[in-house]
Amino acid sequence: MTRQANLKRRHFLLTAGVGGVSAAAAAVAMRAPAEPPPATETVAEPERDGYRLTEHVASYYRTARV
Amino acid sequence: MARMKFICDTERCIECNGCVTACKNEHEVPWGVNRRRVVAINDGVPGERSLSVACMHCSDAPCMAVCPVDCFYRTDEGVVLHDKNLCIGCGYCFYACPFGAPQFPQAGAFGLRGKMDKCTFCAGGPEENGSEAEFRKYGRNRLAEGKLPLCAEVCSTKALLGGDADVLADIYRQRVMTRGKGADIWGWSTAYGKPDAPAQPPAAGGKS
Repeated sequence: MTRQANLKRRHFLLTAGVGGVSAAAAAVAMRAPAEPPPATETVAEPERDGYRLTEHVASYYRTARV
Repeated sequence: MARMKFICDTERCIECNGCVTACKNEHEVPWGVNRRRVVAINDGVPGERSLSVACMHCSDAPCMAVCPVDCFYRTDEGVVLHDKNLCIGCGYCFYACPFGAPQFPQAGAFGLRGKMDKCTFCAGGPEENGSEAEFRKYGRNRLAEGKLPLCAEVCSTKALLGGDADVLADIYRQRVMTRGKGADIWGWSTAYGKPDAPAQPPAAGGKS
């Protein structure tokens, strides 16, 4: 009787231990890919290749005149 | 230097929401965030109009004035952009904007308000043009590709115009001169009737 009680207690401790480790591993796995390393703060640079009157844009303006 | 602006021709907008859909798809905007939307004015009554609204890229933008971390900046083309690395999601810009342009994703951890998201005039953000980081935060950078905002380009009736303000003003002026305004517009009496016209007497010997 005493031996069986000891076994139950061992099973309980084993289950609790495995569950705790797997929960911690899951938490680490979920946290790791969540946020990439923060990019360095970039200062607003004037865009060198912003708006320009390309053929695509000119075509749009032509269609808007209809 | 060209100055980028949007203008919506309310006489042409048919409330199809194509601009809204195109914007969400092009920039992969998350659920709950609408950078552009179509609003109805005088909904359900004669004279109803619809209007496509997003960030108007104000010349004196109130969002820039109230931002406590100064994350907004204006490009050479007059496009108002913001840096999500600096934004703290306080929501001041949301209250300051008369157009309701700033949007905040609600799905953040612990229900916190996420970083502000708004129309970029398809001009991306401070990251390198066309980079993956820029696309992930701000969407596609069509201006750098030599194109214009997709919402304006897909508009089937060309109600929503976007681009160089000088060109748009010229286009709109030409439209108004051609079609007139108010009740002078072609088809107005067909669609809305003539308020001052006397009631038509019933035709004699009408159908039974």
